[in-house]
Amino acid sequence: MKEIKMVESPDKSGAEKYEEVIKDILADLGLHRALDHIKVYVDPKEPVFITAGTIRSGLPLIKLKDFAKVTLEFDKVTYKYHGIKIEFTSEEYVADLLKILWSKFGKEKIDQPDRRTLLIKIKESEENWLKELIVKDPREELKVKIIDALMRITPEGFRVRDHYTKGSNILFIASEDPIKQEWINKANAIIKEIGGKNAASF
Amino acid sequence: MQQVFEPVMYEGGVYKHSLILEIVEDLGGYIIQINVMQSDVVILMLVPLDDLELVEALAKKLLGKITHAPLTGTEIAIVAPTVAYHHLPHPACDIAEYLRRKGSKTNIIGLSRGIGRRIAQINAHERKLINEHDAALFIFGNFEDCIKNQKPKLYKDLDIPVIITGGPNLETYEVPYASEYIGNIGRISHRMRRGHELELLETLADRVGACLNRYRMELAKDPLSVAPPRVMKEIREQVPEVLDILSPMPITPQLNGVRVKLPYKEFHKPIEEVQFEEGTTLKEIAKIEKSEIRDYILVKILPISETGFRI
Repeated sequence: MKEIKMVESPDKSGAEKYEEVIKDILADLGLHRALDHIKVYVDPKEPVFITAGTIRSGLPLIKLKDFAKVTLEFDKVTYKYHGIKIEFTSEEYVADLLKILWSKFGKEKIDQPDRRTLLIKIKESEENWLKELIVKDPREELKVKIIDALMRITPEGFRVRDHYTKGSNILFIASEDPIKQEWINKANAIIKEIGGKNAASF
Repeated sequence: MQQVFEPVMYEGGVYKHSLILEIVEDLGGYIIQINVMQSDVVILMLVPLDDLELVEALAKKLLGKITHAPLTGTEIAIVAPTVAYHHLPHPACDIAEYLRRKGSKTNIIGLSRGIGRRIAQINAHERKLINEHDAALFIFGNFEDCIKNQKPKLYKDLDIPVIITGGPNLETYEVPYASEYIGNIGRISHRMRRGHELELLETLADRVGACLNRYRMELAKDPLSVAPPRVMKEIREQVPEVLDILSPMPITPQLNGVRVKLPYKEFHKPIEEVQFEEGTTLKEIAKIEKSEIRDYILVKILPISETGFRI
């Protein structure tokens, strides 16, 4: 993380101590390498707590073809088309895959003859789509974890919260009072500062 | 002449530790707590100052250690704004544990709505509960403005000395209504075990000790009718049910009373009737009430100005 030291606040000593809190919490949750940048702005007098961060890029999406062999299944005698057969090389993501397939095709079209095999009674043309199917997005999971970390970092009394995530950017504003437009503007300015011109904003 | 007691802690093996208990009782001292942990034992006690050497010599013979435990006989409330992960276990538990090692009995209290600035509040029940202790230690965060201007409303109406810990380096007089302020602690999310943190805890224990000493002096201007350890001893001897309590400190001594961990409804009568050899009963020299903690019994000893005598 390049900018972990960036806690900005009118209260200098408070900001310094807060850096330590942020480091501890990110380390506790195993997220110290998950963020590229993080910048926090705290003004206890307002009171407002703004966090802006960019998630480290480079986490690959998990597609079906990464952990399974997808083939067309024909009857051995009549050569009649049965459906698409999926043979897993790893069982790690099967539960996630089944959830997606059940919601799309319904349980009656999906047959699991053994632990490592699935037979889906759908059209042949779906084969390519199935191979490219995104089973899991580690980024989404990471975002949930990061939001959890931000909740822990934010002072507990700041219960009016708003967050916004887009692409690799995360913005989080918390306060005791209704969120003001000037704080949103400040948050947008911070994310521009750390994420460049193309950064997302509220 | 009033005897002067030294609060000490004995740490040693279980083997023959009863000799220590016997010698302290023979010398007229008081045993506050015995904590047996497998083959080790920790005993908190008050030993007459003149005879301390005898106890030390015996401890040495038993390969044990006697250390000064200045907070022995006090009950301190460690108050966190809530019990959420923002405030616990660090630093509240670290501080409580450190004060415990100095002989104090600590209770951690999480307020229901102590968080935030404008929205921070304390209710009557919590205030009453904290007031039952000898002192309260409030753990606050990292920002100066919150500590100086917003948080004092949580503790300004308490009757006992209040010690504040927080992040900014302030002097005690800068924090309104505080008896002591200890800086550089604030909100911490890791265990306090680095060198400078242990030093801080040591300073904190010293300052808490100094604060309680001032409170003791205050109490000494109008002395109590009987010393709390004596009440403790008499209750232990005359109400045998106390011996069946599983809490580590069935009778908790305080600077101006004791807390007995028996149900009030059933046991306040036998406690009130506890006899002293001078001929008085406990109810004549103390106020016996139901404690806010569970339904324990709280005994607050009356000063001489109210009873007119001292035993």
